[in-house]
Amino acid sequence: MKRKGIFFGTIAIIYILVLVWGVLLTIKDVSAQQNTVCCEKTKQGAFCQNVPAEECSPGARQVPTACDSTSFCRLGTCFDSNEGICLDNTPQLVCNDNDGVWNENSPPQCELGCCILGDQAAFVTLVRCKKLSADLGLKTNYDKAITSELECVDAVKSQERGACIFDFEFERTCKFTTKSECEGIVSSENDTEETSEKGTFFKDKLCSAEELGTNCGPTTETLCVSGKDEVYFVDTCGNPANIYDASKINDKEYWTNVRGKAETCGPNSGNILSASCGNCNYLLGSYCRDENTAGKNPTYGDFICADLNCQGTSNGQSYKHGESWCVYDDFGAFGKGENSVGSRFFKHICINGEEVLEACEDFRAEECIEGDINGFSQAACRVNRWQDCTAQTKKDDCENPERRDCFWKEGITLTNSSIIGACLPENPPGLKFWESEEAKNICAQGNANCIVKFEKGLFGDEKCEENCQCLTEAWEKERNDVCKSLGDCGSTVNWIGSKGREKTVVEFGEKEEVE
Amino acid sequence: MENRKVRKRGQVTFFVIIALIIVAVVLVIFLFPRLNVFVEELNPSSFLRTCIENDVKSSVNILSKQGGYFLPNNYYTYKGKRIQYLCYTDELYKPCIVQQPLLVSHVEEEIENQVKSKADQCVEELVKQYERRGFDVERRPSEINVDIIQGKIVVDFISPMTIRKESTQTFEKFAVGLDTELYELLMTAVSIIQYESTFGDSETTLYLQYYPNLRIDKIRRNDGNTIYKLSNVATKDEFTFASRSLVWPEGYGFDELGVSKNK
Repeated sequence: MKRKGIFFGTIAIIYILVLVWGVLLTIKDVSAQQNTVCCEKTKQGAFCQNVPAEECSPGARQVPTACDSTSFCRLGTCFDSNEGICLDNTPQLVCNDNDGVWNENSPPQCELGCCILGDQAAFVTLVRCKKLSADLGLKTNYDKAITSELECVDAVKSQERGACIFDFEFERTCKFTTKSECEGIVSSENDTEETSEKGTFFKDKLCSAEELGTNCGPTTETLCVSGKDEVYFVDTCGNPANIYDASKINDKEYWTNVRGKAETCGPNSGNILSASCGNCNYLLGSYCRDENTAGKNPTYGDFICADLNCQGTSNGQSYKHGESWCVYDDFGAFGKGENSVGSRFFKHICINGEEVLEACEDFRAEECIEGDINGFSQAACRVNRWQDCTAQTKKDDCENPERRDCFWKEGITLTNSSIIGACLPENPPGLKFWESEEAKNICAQGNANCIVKFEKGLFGDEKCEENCQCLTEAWEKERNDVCKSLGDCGSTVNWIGSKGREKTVVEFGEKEEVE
Repeated sequence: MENRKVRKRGQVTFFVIIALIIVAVVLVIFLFPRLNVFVEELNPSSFLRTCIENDVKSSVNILSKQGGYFLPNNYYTYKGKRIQYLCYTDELYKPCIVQQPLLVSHVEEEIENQVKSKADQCVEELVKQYERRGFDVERRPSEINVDIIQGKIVVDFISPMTIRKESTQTFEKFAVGLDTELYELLMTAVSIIQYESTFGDSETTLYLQYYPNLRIDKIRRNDGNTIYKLSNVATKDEFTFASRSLVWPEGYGFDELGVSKNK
């Protein structure tokens, strides 16, 4: 008896120890999951992350608080004094370690102004303007009074352009440029400084103009000019002349005066792959490229208006360069709660004549939306707002497009709900149903308990009296549709159309006799 | 008869003179090897360019495919390649945190470290070339500086050198420029990082309006990982990097709470 007691006592102690050990492990696990620290550097090599303490690299600083609250991992603006650019959301230590200048708020060095770079403009910081100007061999021309990018672009458009004549190595030569660059007048940050290199400026004249008497003359060669769409003739000094037009190759007037885009060949079209006209238009899907890239030879020179548009894409339509559109070509429909397992939204983009795919977030965490601006298609991947669909009890709230992506299904009831009608996701989320406990909970909302009443006849036969629809295949299908609308639940098919192995589970309970 | 004798003597004299000239030339070549009259003039920049070009190109090629790192430490593996995260978060629902500011300077430094030894070899070889041509070369220790600027990579061999022969020439540095559009791609990468760290995601089609030669392939992987492959359609230069931002869990994310890292 005593032995028996000792035996049971030992078993009880072992059981308690195992239980306590299990509880301790659970507590440890939970605390590890919930109590994160701000870690200077993780074992993986990432800087300033809120992670469980054990993921922190040995020797790295760690503080039991969020990184935003620490001194070393606070986010701020990192100023790159070499490039003159400012990068937000950079932790202090990451910025300092890389020789950047860190500020909690945007420093004055990050203020933007207009930088004139020859006939182009950039809306950048002063340091960046100096860097860009130096790289291009230009004097810094920066105007901080201009406070918007549009104004900046306008400022450069209004510059006069023409032939700049000067003497070089005892020869009268020419450069096609702006008046300010030619006359060597460059406004610096505070005042206007004048340089000694002055040329004589002839507005709207080309360097190849005979009347200027320079050593520059016409050629049969062409070139692409940085920042311009079109193909340009080039003179013997390497200056761009007017837009390439094969019919004007021997036209003296065409080699004398500057002609605008509208006064040149094919002004209203993109002149795509035209052998004789280089008046390309980026907005219409053409751009100056060399003949090898473009795939066609021009009559003169090596450059042509390449075709950037996409013909006959995967959905059979043609799109312009830069257009994007949504594609959902997986099995099944979308937007009605019927998405197949593993299906995903894709955004397609037409880039330089190629159809490029960009997948939206997997598990349908994002859906693709598209719109049209003056015939120009634009698409984007946007977060799928399905999370609070089943919590809605009114049709209006359910189908409020400002708040969520749900639809109202009449005549059905979700588990734990007394309302007839259910709010379900338009594009149900994908679930890790093969390993996730959460998937079971989400799918369980689609469970239904239907009590069917039968009436027993005199001869033992039964006749259905109440909720008889629950015995039909139609009811089974309807309930399965509800399950499918909640996520990857119920009996469904995958994205390539293969059916799942299991049918909707319909369990019949024991019959109870009621007097 | 007399005339023939005189003509014969003249011929002999002529052949003797020719023989003497040949012997003199041979002696000059053998006795004064440093006097190399057949070697063309040496252009140091061109010599150094030829010497270092392949190494710089191969370094840029590796860096461009790995997010600007020779040895990525915080990376995503895609098609067997380790691609450095330039912006990363370990948490759910949050925009990423910038991991590599001053990207251009970092890439310059990586190239410098990679080609430094080769650059030293190139300078040594240049000195030898000068010495072979009979120059006296005096030099101080050399350094290398790599600058990535618009349209090119400039490798500066800061190698103060004085060469003497008949005259004296002094060089402070030799600059070698290699054409590449890497700078533009790096600046686009910085802009995308800015987008991702601020909004959690980036809209790549916006860049097409401003950069006709730019192509951006945004490759979404699971768990919030995105690979960006930026390329120049005209020059075929490219730059690839990874980002992990605005991670959405499957379902409500209860399973993932607290266990956000899931690469």
